[in-house]
Amino acid sequence: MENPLHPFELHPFVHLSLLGVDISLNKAVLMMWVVVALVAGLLIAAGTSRRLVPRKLQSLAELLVEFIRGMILDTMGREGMRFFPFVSTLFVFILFCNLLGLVPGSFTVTSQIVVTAVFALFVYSMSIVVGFSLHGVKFLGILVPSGTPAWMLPLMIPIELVSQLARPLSLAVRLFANMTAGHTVLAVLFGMLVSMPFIPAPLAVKVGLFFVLVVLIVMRRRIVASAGIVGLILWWCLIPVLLSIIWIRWLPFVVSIAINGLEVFIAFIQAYIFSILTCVYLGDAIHLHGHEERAH
Amino acid sequence: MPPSTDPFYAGLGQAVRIGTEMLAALIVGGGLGWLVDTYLFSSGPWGMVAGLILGAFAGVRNAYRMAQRWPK
Amino acid sequence: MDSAAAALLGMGLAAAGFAGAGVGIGYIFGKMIEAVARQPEAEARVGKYMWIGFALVEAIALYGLVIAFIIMGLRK
Repeated sequence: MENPLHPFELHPFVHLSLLGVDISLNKAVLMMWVVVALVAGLLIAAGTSRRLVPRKLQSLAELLVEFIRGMILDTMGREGMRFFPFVSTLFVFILFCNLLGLVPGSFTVTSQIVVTAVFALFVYSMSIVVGFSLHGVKFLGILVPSGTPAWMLPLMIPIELVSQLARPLSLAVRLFANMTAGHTVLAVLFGMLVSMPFIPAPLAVKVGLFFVLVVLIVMRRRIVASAGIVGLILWWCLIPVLLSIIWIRWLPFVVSIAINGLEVFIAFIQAYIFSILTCVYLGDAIHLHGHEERAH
Repeated sequence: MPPSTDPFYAGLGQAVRIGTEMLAALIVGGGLGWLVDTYLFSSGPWGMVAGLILGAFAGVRNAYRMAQRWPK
Repeated sequence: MDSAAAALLGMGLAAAGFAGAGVGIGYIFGKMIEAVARQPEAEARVGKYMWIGFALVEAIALYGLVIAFIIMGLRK
């Protein structure tokens, strides 16, 4: 069987280098360009016709803006609205990378840990820069949780330091691991779809069983009515057995479709979590020790 | 799906965070301890052990703090 | 048995830890449904603890994954 990690390997199409830095073109770069072009095209098309009563595309874009605005107001408050362009860019880019990666034949940019790590480091260093520029040296107080007794400080400062340093790592690893794990499962299933051996049976038998299957499905009401619960159980046992003899690969096929649906859900959830954590970290930098007062 | 209006999605969003956050705290703690061991003091495995314990504390503390700030 | 095969077996055994996480998730959600069916007004309060329990189960499953990766890194 083929290596299921094969879809994640990157091979440059065109070898380029700038001042000794490798800037070769590969699938990931092309996919990012596609995402950027698609997002820009969609949002510009949605934004040009500013109707009072929005049409389909415009109302979708308004939903998106309302969603991100609510997210920022919930976590950062009014002062956070100046980060609206940054957070919405991040959210839409990650969401479209995740979703377009699910199209067969394309490439998931967010399944490369380089990409997610750069995003996470950028977000985290931005929160540090914002914190120091707003609060000065007092921003180091983020290492001291409010209400800590003085004798606990030698213990609490290392713990807080570790949990601060864990932020970019968890941000990067979460997105990367979720996208990679889902696509690896999909790759294994599609590999089985191609390589699973058929159950050996003459073609005539398979065609006959197919007609039996059709009859069973058409007559299901009659069968259940005449044989009751036993008939129902027998029907449910017989259908997969017959299907397997005719075409064993229905199993990975059905499971891969189900996993694909789950992956769409995960794509949304992960983009949402990445951007809401961006908001939370920036909010921590803006409101130093501000949570207790702003708690719901 | 506006955030924190549907309690199911708000809860799911929080829950998916906690797992990786505990793991990342553990890895960062162990990594810092290992760095101290190899590059600063060459103090055997003890720096890494202490770092792992610190990381575990930090992870559990993060989870506890997140549970306190849970969206209603 | 050479060490490469043993490492692969070990990684597979580490993945078997997901069975425990599966049992845990099933148990948590099953008990949640039971509790809400008995007392529907307690859903908000019980839901919070359900998600925390779910997250802890997920953390344990991730530890299994990390052990599999460590074995993969030690493999010669």
